Amino acid sequence: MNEQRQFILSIFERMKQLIYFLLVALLYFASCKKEATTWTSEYAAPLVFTSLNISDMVNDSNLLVHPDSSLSLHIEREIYRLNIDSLFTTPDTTISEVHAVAFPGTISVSAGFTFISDVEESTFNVSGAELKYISLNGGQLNYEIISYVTGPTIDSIKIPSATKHGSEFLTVIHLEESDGTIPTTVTGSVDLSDYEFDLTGSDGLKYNTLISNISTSIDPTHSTPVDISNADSVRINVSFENIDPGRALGYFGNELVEVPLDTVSIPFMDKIIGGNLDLDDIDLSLSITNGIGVDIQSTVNELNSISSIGTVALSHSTIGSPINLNRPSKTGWVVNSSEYTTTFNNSSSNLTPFIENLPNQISYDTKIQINPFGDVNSHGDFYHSDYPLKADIVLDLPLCLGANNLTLQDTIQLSVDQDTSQIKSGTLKIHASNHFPLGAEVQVYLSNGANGFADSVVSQPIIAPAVVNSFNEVIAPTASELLIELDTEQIHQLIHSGIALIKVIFNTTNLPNRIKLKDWYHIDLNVGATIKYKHEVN
Amino acid sequence: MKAVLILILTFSIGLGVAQSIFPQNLLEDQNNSLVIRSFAEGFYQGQGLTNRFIDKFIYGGHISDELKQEVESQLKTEENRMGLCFRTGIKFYDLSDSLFKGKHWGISIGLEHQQLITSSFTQDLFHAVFFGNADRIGQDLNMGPTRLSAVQFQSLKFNLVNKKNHCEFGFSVVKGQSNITFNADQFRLSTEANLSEITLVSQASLFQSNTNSTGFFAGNGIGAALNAVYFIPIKSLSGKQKAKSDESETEKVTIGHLKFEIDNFGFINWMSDPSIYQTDSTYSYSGFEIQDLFNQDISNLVDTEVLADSLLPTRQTSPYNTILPAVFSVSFEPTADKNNSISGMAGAWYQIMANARPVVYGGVRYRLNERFSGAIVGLVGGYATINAGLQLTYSGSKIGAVIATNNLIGMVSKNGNGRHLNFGVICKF
Repeated sequence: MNEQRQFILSIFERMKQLIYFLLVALLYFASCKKEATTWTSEYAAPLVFTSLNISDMVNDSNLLVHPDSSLSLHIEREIYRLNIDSLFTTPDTTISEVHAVAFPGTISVSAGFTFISDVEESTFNVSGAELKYISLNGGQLNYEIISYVTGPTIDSIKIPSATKHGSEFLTVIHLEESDGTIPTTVTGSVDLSDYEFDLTGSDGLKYNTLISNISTSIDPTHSTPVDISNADSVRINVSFENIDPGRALGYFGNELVEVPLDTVSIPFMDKIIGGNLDLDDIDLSLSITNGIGVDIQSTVNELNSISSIGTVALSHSTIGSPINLNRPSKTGWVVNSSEYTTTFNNSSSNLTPFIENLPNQISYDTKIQINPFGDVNSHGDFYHSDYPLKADIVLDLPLCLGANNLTLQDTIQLSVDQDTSQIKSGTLKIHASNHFPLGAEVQVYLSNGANGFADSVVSQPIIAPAVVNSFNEVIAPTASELLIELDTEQIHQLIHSGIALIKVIFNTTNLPNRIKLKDWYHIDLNVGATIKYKHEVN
Repeated sequence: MKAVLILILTFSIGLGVAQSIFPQNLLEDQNNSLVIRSFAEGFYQGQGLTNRFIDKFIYGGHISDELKQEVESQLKTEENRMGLCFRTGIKFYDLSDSLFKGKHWGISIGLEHQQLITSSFTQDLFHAVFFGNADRIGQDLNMGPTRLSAVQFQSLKFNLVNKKNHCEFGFSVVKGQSNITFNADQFRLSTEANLSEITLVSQASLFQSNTNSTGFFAGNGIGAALNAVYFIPIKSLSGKQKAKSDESETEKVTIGHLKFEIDNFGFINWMSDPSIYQTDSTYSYSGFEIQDLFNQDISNLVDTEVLADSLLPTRQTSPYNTILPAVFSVSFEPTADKNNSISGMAGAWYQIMANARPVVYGGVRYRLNERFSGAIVGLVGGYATINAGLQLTYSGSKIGAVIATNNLIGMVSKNGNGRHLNFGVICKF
């Protein structure tokens, strides 16, 4: 029995040793995994695809297709619109009036009794204009009522000469009682949209004049009489804000509006940094439309094309000469605007050099004289916000051109949120099937920190133009492949800087001949990527 | 009686060590009624997957292009097999003839844990994972047919031992810990020549047990299995006996036994929050289409939700059954002969649901003395083509031990394909 116990103990002892050995072995094997398992694989997948024709590159509404499928660019832009503030400035000053009982001493006033009722005419200064009538598209009347009355009151502001859909302007304000020393104050505002104002005063002969009626009563629900003296005043401050006139009648003065030399940027054009663009016949029209019921004399002093190449001033008989714009007529409030149009082309001006200068800015200097002959229409000037005074240009540009190393340059911003540390290299493959008689050389430069941009990463940069016949018409597309190759360092550089510079140099086929772009020309692009990725398994 | 007992117990070591071909002749000259045995077995092996590659994959390090190419060059186009297994258990035998009034019956109770990961895959699947598709632009990557099976389970075995009829049989209650079964009959990735499109054709199914609880004690499935061992003695006349034949006394001796064995033939029902995905679809991706050059939101070039909806089938959650990786084996083991220190051995086994081929083996055993013996065999099949195996056995009076491998080359060389090691300990009371 004792032997058996000894044996069992020895068995357990050996089993303990075995378990110990197994545990040690397990720890050994577990600790063998000291580093991650890694390997590198390279994957390929399509990224984006598109088919672009001219209408995809410009706004459809700007493109005209001619019967022979050739294209013209028709661009209309408003370059100037007269601000109504240039004609007359609406009042924004605060009118402050104090109202009190007209007799000395103190009286006891019962509830509901009106102890102030004042009718007043207020005349505003409207910067040289004499308005008889104005209606508002928007705006607001702000009021502040300061009362020393020792009982609760009901105050009303009525403007009989301001109506909205036939109803007079009226606002009623409730004020709590004052202790006679510290006044009760209430502020508020009223929307003035769609209000019409008769500004001719009580006799119908004045200008810029409003009639108002201010009244103050003891609150009818107040239970006890209130003692009122002539010291118990009520001050009312009224101001107008954000006044947006819709229509106006009167005399608008004879202001001279001078527009100093100003520039309009043409955003896309500043991407062009070099080369030449040879364009066919161009027409540029300047159209001035006058919907304001005043006589106008306008002068365009100068119009300049500004680019990195230089500045080209437009020369034409109208530049520097006054242009008289007749007063439009109206029936009711329907205005028959007057128009003035002048056309610039190669025969009447230097328009082609003006455009081929590839301007990224247009500068102009002009002046506008309102009512140069005074109030010849006996306060018959009118304004309707739907009929402005504005200037438009219309450019008709046939897409028949020759591009000679026309170079566009732009930067693209990149923002990559994903962890890309495992990407060891990558290649962008851009397959192009080009139906344009226009070739391109594409270069992409990565930011090099303070040193600017490093060498291009495009190893195959050429997109060949389509094949053309003797008439420079496309007869077959050409396939090209662009390769953009990035190693680990360049990928990190790109992601870190978040910016890349793209430069594209365009050349048309058979220079110096111009080629006509047709509506069916297009380019098919398939962009795919191969990425070398380092897998890491822990 | 003792001989039968010894035989059963000896060979039942192999019962728990299905991938090991080596029985353990540890119980000769035994006179014990209680026997405890335990074992632990582990292996990994892959056709064409060298140890240099597998070591990097398991223990870490960079798998170089040269190493990947070396492996790929050894793979077949299809049906490359790979297996990884860890299995351990303990079993108690009560052979004191106390059952059924002591007439030849005994019982055994065993507890076992098994983890088995196996796969059959194509060369292109290996290429897609380790090389990618960038060098296959304009070509197909046929990643199917591919099968992957990973199962972990524990079983509690109850067997009856009939010493007279040389057999042991019973059943197991099986607790399923985790399972993944992936079958892809078609799994083809095509990359267009100009990178304009990639297409994935998939006809596949994925069965997965509860992924929220996968630890040792997770009860994600339950099942049952049958186990049986049956020995047929092979008898022959000895030379001495033959000489006596003319005296009309025919005396035969047992020269060995044929063993038939079924281990873990059963199923598991995975019922705790399982997932089933089935797909039969073609998905093509051409990239993101830019329709408006000037007003294009490219912040989400690849909509991962749309991609997932397109690629991933809808999850179903109904319970499913899997067949256990049962082992069917037959072997011949000669009876130890004190007069002859060298004897032959042979056998075969097949493990179902394990993406493996049947294994056939044959070899010789050399008895150094009464306590120590060794054996060396050659094997064909399984997860490799040809392997050599080695076993060393100690048979003491009260305790025995065995250490064995089916993959001798793999254990000593980085040029081998996989490794295999099997420990067994037996205690007799």
